[in-house]
Amino acid sequence: MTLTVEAHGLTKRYGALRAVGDVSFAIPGGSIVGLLGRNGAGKTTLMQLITGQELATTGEVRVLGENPVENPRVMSTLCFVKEAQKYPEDFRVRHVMSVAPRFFPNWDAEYAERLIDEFRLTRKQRIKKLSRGQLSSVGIIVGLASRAPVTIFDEPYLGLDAIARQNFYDHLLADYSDNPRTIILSTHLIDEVANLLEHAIVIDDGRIVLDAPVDELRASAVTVSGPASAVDTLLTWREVMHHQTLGGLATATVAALSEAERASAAGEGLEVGPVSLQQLIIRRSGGWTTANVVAWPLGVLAFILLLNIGIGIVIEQATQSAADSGGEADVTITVSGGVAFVYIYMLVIAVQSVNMSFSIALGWGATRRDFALGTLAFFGIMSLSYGLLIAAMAVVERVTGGWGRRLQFFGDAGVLGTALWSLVITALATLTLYLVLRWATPRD
Amino acid sequence: MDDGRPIFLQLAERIEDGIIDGTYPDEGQLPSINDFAAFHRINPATALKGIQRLVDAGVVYKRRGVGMFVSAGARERLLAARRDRFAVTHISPLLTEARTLGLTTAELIDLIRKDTPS
Repeated sequence: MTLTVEAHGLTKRYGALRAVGDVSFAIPGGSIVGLLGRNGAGKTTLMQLITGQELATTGEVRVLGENPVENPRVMSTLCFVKEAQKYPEDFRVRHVMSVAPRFFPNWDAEYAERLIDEFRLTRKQRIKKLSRGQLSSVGIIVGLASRAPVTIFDEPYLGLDAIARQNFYDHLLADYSDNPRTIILSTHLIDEVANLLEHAIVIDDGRIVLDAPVDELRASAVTVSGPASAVDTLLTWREVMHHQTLGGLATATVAALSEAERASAAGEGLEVGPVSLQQLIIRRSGGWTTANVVAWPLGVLAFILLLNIGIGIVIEQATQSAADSGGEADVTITVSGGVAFVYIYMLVIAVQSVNMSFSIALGWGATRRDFALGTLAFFGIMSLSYGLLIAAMAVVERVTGGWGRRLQFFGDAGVLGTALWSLVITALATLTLYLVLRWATPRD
Repeated sequence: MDDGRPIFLQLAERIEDGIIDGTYPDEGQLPSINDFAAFHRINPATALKGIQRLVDAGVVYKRRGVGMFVSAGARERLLAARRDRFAVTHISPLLTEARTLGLTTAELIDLIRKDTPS
């Protein structure tokens, strides 16, 4: 498959503003591609870079293998329908149509005439007097009739009514079927065009957040709704994009389910439904992925590990100096081996509990930021307090020579004792995490 | 056309439905890919993918330069496959809903009998 438009590390800055940042993509030839994103995401800038109307700050863009800037060969293959196309002062509709063949070698005059009638334009109308929607129609006619190998529509239907938009989609599909070419469609009316697109590139804040075939995107997520407990069970260990509860009912957007999972979900009384491309893109831009949910607790635990190794060293030092100064030398504190076990165990439990509580927190209306900060605060306080607890217990054990002089957690508790303790600590930690999150997150 | 699954799968199923209910008889010609795309307002590449699925399954075959046709015996094979899946696709949901409503299996069978013209 030939590539029509490629970008490598494309960046455009206007002074301090980074409109497009380090963008790379490749658009296969002969496909309809959606360039989707919010206002100000950088869609128009990207299209201006592709059409050679702006110079890239760094990086490069290739259209049909060549640099588009000041390149007549590339220009003759391009048609860029801009949101606000400017025409000479006294131009009428028919002037636009008579000038167009000079720019577009593949121009189909007959098709343009037909489109003028379908979009209810009058050839004699002055461009200046056209309504916003009619002006959009002129752009659409030029874009379709140009038959340019690379046709780019930038928000082509400002002010267009629903019928005219549908008309545009039908013509786009029909003409594309007869004359395959690359069409880049920039829009924020995602659901309207979802089925027309073969591929979607989603841009947010100047960066590409999604670049995938639409079929794959649609297959990548579903919504499940039903009794909250059943939904929560299903969410465990899954990538949750959205979660909402209403009384005992919950709705969640999760990564796709297998056939067997769908069947078992149905058995639990859950309804599995579609996620529209629009919803998916909203959920995905600025999304919180499984990687984040796992990385957060791992990072926090690394911090705790360092903190408590520090505490461990302090305890050992204290024991050492107690023994040196003639204290009871036969009492030893074996922190290292047992504590390592605790940490491995904690790691697994913490990752799981954060993962599970994330969807619950979202259900309470917490933002991702609140959740992240809450998790951090919780683990920080928890690690400090149980570090101190271990230290205190070690001291008591050292002073008394063991609990009741027989039981020594740190002397020779071994693997089983340590595991037991880690279990207790983890249970308390999970409960506290639950309570803290519940307390800290706003409810509507 | 939208139940959350990829469009090409849905298109393939629609065409299968058409073969089963006789809209597209055995050895009958199917509309072109572009016709399907225009009718369902979907990308022609998606339509092609859906039809390719049927071609791979041997339900539909292509005659170069002429068009696409329903394979002989496709309807029988599709019917057999659908019957195999009937328990999962229809009976299980029916039982789940019946349980929710507090209907016993016996009552359910009665309802089915009543609704079946003899």
